Amino acid sequence: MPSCAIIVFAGTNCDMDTFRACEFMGFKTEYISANTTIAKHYDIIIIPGGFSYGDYISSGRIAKFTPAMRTLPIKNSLIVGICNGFQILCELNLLHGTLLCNNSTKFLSKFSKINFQNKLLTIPIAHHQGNYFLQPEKKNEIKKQILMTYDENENGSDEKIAGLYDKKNRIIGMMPHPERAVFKETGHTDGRIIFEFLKNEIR
Amino acid sequence: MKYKAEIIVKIKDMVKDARGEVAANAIKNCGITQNATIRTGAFYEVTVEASDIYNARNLILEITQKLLANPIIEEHKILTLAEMKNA
Repeated sequence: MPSCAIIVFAGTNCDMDTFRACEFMGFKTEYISANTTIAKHYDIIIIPGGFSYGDYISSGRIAKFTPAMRTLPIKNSLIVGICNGFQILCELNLLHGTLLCNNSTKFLSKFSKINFQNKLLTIPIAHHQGNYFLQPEKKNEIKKQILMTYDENENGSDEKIAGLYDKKNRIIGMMPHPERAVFKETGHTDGRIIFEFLKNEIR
Repeated sequence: MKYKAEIIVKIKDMVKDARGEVAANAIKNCGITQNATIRTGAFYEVTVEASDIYNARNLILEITQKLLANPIIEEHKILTLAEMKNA
């Protein structure tokens, strides 16, 4: 059974959803506090969604200074940032680009159509700062690293990017919330496809 | 000695500023003027303790570059930096 750690910050609010989804998908899951360094090996480390440190200054800006985040990346662990986790990974420069305020300036909370591995999935999004911005000079470099795109590009992201890899394919960031689409009670179960994919990415 | 700095951080001109556009539209809609543009940013007051003003400036720059601004999308400027006489 793959091991999974979920990093919890002050202000994280998707930790329990992610924990339950991970357990359901067959990961041996535990929480770790952002205030401790990560000393043990985990197959996958998830930085869940929420509002770490109240989004003060900017989303993910303060979380990047925590001891847990400063230990990343670790060996061959797969690191996955969901929503606020994606913002934190961008702030740490572990992923290219950054996330701006949505074009509409509204908080978007809806089921979104996501293109992922030639499939069209229905996955919830819930963010205010999810408009992916990429420096123009990096556009060619990033093409192979795009993991998923919005079908309707609700927030105005460059290249419609909803999720991407780092150069070594060991770090993943995504704005959609697959953990909210695992149990049939939540309306859709396409999130399972993403968790299965993450399981296959473990080395 | 204690030093105080005033810093502004603003979104670079090449980056879309959705909040600024909404604010500029509001100016149009209320009839003040038709051609105002607005770019948004943030203002910070930071105090540090340092042996002299050069070290204070280095500390302030480090704080700004690491915490207050994201160099990919934002530019920053130290507006003032001075010793706090009464501190």
